[in-house]
Amino acid sequence: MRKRAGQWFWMSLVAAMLIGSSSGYAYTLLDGSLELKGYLRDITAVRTEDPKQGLGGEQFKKGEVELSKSFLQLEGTYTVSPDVKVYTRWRGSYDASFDFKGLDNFSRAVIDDQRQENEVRELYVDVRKGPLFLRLGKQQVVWGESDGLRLADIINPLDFRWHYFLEDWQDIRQGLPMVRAIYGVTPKTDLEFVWSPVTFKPSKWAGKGTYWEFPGAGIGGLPEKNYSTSVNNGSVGAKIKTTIGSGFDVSLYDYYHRNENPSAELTDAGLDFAHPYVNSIGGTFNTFVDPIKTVLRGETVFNINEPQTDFTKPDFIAKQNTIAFMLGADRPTYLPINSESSMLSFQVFYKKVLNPESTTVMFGDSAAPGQKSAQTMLSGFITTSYVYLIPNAVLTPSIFVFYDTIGSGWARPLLNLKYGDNLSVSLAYNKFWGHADGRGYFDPFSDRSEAYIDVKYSFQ
Amino acid sequence: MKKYQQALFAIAVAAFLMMPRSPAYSAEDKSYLGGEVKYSITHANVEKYKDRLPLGLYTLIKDWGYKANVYDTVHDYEFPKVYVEATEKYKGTARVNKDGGLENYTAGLPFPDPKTGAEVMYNYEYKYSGDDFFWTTYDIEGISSTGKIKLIKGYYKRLAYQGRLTINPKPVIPNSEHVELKEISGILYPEDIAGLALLTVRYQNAKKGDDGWMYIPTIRRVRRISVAQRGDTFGGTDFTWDDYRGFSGKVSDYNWKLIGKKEMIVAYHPLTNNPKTIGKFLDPDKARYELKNVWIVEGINKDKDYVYGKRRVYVDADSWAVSANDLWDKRGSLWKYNETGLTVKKKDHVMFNYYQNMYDLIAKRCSLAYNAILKTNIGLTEEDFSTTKLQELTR
Repeated sequence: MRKRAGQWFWMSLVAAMLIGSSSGYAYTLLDGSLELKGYLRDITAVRTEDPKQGLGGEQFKKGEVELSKSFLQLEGTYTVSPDVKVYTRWRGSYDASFDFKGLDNFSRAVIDDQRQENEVRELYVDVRKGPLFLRLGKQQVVWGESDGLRLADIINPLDFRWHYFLEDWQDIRQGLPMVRAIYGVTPKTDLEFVWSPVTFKPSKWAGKGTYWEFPGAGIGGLPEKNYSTSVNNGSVGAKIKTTIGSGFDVSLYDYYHRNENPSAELTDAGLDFAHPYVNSIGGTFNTFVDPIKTVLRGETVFNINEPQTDFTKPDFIAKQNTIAFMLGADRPTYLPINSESSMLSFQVFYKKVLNPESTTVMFGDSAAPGQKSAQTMLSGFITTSYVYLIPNAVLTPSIFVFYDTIGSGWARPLLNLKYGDNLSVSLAYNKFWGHADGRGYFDPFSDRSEAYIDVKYSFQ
Repeated sequence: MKKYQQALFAIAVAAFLMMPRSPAYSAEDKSYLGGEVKYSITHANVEKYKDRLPLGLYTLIKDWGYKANVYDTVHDYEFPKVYVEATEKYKGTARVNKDGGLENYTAGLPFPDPKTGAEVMYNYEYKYSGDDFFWTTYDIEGISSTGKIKLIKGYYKRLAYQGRLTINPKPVIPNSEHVELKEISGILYPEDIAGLALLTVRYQNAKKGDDGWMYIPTIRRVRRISVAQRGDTFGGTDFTWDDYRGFSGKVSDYNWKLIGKKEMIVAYHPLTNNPKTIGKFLDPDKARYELKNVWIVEGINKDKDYVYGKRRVYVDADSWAVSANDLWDKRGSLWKYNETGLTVKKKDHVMFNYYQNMYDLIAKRCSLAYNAILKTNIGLTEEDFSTTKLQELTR
């Protein structure tokens, strides 16, 4: 069954390897106006710990393949004129882990939802007219300065279904049809306007029985609330960004939107999920501090009426004001491990409920209502590249650690080998650990550590 | 997926992969083709010419089997009249301060009669290059010790804030931060780093480091970065960020020593901007060497952790462009040799790196930058070097 279903993909992979193996230039058509590129990729992950009861994903045992996803992505850019360009990105994928596990272990709805993908993820036109830049169509918009957690990067909802938050976010953001306008007031000051006029998409969660199903026994996949195409379900935001003096960048933004994560809601028809509107107001900064050769960056957001499920409330929803910030520092540093510099990056995140009632509204802590009103998280990242160890290859080890100060965390040591122009192979281990009382951002996944191999062949 | 859909899909993929790739870009200027080889320097006779060769070139010929064909020396570079007039007008005003920075410079050649290594390097920095210039494309081939090849395709553009002579505003783009220049360096190939673009702002203040913003495709953001570590390799090639164009570091980051002015055999007037490689080096018959007067300067970076222990720079006395570099590691071993295939773009009065080679003499590998197309004075503005412009790249 799997063989038949995945046949088309592997044929394509072999064809690409054979035909596109030489170093070359861009694939172009129409006298160079249309440029195409893309990649083939396969990621295969294996569970490395025995499952605990009650956290979800229990049917995958230690040593079992829980992800075996193959992708083909194609990107095209058509240059109509120097000031007008059309861009599109399509991705197809197939997750063979369903076949490995046996289709009988999943509902038909989950298989149909998650096993295959065939989607135009972005399709937009860029227009430049003097200082005005317009991007119209299905797109991703990224604001903010943070890595690993999103404070300002809230415009596109995420797709957590197939590898939770462990992918590059550009690969799990859901494109939204939007109007994005950037007006360069001066070379140092931009005004930006973002409007998603009629569409709201909630975040997507893995289905029941899958490895990354939402934590909590029996909950399984969170039902996706469908919102109609209506101006009542749109979102709108604006940002002003400027550089003060020589190199101090600041921005202020306001984004009015539906909360992408669902909250339980008690209605006349029973329990439902809802995505009430939130107003997120915030700012960012970055600067290079020359005496210490370090980039400092930060980000803050003030959420007005951020919703959270609270079963002590009559309608199960608590809407509270929250504030969160991130401070980060990046410094390329020579370490005695390499003649190339190593990148060291650290961040601290803090979030607080400003009007705490009998609940919490956190980054994602699983604390019971009323247990706490503030959360602190730390992250660290170290990487370097070895360009001389292996002929024609670049070896890049890295380690990323995220730690919730309550006592849970996530660490990812990763080793990437880039061979030639086209081939990239990564070996990595995602290690999660949780608090003894089952608390903290990462605790719900504390038994879902995994090892994976990620092979990517890109062509252009 | 149904069978006919699978078939259609496979056909579409195959058709896509078999599409013709864009051809190599052609050179703009081939006015210096031809000429007779006066003599060739090979392994057999290299000792005879040792004193006239950059140390790296001597090593290449002696140990790698390279050959240097020496042609008649041609002096065909002339500064534009407006630059000569500015040099005369502002002669004697510029000076190097105690921090190694340049002060009181307005336009033209800062030091027509240099007395120090720093003055030679500032003459290189402010040689005539137009008020802006744009390498619309270039390629870098990496040739490893096993002969495998990888390719990077990129572009580079630069805007001068000082010494402007052609495009308004002149001679300085007014700004309160005392900017010296802005540049954008971007990658077009391979796919996994295509779209990467770095905006750098360099200041006149010797003590103020460069500012950098990079658009990183995988995170789809313009990210503020530290560009302090300019000794890191450029995209995994043998070039560092400071090796661009022969030298692209900040002059004041080094302590310079003037070795002298001497006739040396250096690459000049190459026969093509698209040379082929033979084994691990450039096809010697596509290169051309001439006996030229060069200024020889040695520089040691003030950062003790800097990747090179020392660089010896050979600066062409006609044009003040860099012809070659010998580069030592921190243990004092000769590590790399950098050769720029300078040619003259007469119409624009600029020197043009037809190619640029970086040979790693220890690891026995090289990177060859070529296929460049150069445009100057095209009217680039501050808006072209803003983070707004980088944001347009965001996908």
